[in-house]
Amino acid sequence: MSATDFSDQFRTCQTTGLKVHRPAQRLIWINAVSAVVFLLIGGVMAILIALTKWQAIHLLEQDLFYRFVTAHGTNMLVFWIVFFEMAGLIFGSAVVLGSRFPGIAFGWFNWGLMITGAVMVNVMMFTGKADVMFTAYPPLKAHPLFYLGIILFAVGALLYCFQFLYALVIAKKEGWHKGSLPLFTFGLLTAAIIAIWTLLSGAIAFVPTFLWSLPKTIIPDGSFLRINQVDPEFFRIAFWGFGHSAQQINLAATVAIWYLLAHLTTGAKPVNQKMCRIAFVLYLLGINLGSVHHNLVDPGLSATYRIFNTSYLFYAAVIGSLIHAFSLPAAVETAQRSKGLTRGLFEWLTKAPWSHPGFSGFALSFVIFGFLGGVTGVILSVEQLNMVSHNTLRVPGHFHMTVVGGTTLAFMALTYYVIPLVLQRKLIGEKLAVYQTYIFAVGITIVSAGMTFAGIMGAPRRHYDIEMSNAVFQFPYATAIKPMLSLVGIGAIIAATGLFIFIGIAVLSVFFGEKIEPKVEKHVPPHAAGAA
Amino acid sequence: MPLETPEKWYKPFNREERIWMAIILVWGFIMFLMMPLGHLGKQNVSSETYKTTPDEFRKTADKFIEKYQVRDKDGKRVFRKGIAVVEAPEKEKGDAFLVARSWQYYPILVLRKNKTYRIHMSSLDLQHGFSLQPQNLNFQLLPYYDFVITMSPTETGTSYLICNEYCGYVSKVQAHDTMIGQIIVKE
Repeated sequence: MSATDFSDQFRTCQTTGLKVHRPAQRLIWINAVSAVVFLLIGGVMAILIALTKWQAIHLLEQDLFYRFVTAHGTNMLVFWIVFFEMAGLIFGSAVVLGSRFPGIAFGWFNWGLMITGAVMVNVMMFTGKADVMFTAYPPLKAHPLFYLGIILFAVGALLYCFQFLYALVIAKKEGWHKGSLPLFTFGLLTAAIIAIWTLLSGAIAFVPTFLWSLPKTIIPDGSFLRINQVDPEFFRIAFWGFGHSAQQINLAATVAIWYLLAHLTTGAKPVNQKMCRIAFVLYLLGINLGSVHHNLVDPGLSATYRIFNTSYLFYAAVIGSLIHAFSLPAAVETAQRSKGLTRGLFEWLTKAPWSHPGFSGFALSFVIFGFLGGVTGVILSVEQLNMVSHNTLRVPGHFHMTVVGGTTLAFMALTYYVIPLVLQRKLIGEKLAVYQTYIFAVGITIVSAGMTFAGIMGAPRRHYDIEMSNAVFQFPYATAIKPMLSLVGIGAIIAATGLFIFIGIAVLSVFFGEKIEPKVEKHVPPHAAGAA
Repeated sequence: MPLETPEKWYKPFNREERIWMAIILVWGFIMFLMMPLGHLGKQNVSSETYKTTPDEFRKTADKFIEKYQVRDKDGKRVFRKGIAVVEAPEKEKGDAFLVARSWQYYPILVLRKNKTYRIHMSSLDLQHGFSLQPQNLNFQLLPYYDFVITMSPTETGTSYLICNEYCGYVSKVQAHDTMIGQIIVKE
């Protein structure tokens, strides 16, 4: 049925037997490499700001501290994560389904939009024209190119999401794939749908803000595009529809990756896929509501609305996560027991492949994200408790468990498989990779614990100086805060060591690793009309 | 496996799965009930907000300070570090006002223990964070929104207001981390 023949563009993976569309492989490569570049920038910022938080060192000057907090947040939360997820979407559609990826040139165009936006934002941030934090709350104003960069990046990502959906359609329509979607792709489909909501919310927040930031020489008074004021609460609600939902994309993608890693390392199969799929659907139903927990102590919202929204509509999404919390370990346990590891209650766990970075990365990120991050998150989003935690260090303490100890660690662990299987390079420093997951997990747990406990004692986030030495009054914070902030610094040194080992392994392997010769085989749609 | 096309994935839950689902559904429902139930307690986030403008709010606050500012024995107005010290009226006698602006909270409110106050709070410029320490009570203050909080201090002493929302940097002493105010509670 296809006008062009794609059968020459495939190779067969010798380990998994997956049929890989080679032009799609190059798109995965460019997105993954871009992600790691921004991870590196964000990582350097991380160590600098953590050493500033450590009061005894207090490394940076005030202005640089705020600039680097902005750069750290934006590069990590947006550019590193989203580039990696775009690589994941291409892998989850074309490669997993053994299909072609439609619109390769369009894919490169989308990447072009994203990289242009990301570079623009970084230039603005590092030249000091956008010291507004990741959240960029108006009336704090950045250079128009900062907002434009974010919009370009978001448009590129949005187009990728639609392209992913189209790839699923093509896979069915041209007969590359037949039947239900594999669980991994199903999880990524959830992520992509959440991403579309997320990016539209981002547009609602950032397009008016971009217009507002433009000088009157470009949009004169009286023009219908002239916006003189962005309502601060409107922005906050729309922004968190973007900012927090973006983390729910991570959640869905991370859970999908956990299922994959558990399988690759122990052969685990979900015991009951219906249960897992229901959990993913609950994410879809519940999670895009739950972003008002950022606005719980804001003026202008009613208690009813706060309750309705922050209970994630009767905790639908929390129930989804609790299902995965059952079915993931159950899958691993079943697989391990079927190998004969049946002694006692926990032999299946103690004899798990702890020396494989894929398994240790999965298990550690599962505990850090699922238990530590999940529990702290639910606590923070209770209205009354939010009064004692809003904008304190407790909040970054929570999301360093989820996004860093959880999502980032899972992405790292997956990368150790993506490099040989998809990017076709042998890993350099495979042994270091095992230690890397542990070093990173320990470091980030210390960072998060330090932040959380300092926050419980009232330490503000995004604050240069807990001693307030430049202010007219000095408030004597609890003395125990300083050791906690030192923990943030110490943990950051450990975590950054793990991070740089990861980047070292990834970069060296991708550029200098021994090439794995592709096994090029013709591949035609196996389920196309008329095919055997 | 997660990459395989499943033959048939729609199958009934087994016993363990049913038990677990029941536990988490019940737990989810309990957590949800806790949310409205929390409102039976005395410490809740205010829902009282009015629209305002920075200009209007500043003028109202200035009038309030004019009327209630503490005076010393000679009848001179009292300031602390250049910030007016104001004896706030009790709820029944009138409202109190607290202004946040880069990089100051003003005035310094003097409250009495176990009396109730209605405090209007708003920002004149950027978004600011109201962080009352050491009580560790945090609210978000925005321009154009007049956020009214009713509170009764239960202990005496000096509390500090620290801004915990980033509000810009101009110089070492004009920056987000220098924004601090006081609330004094007397017997």
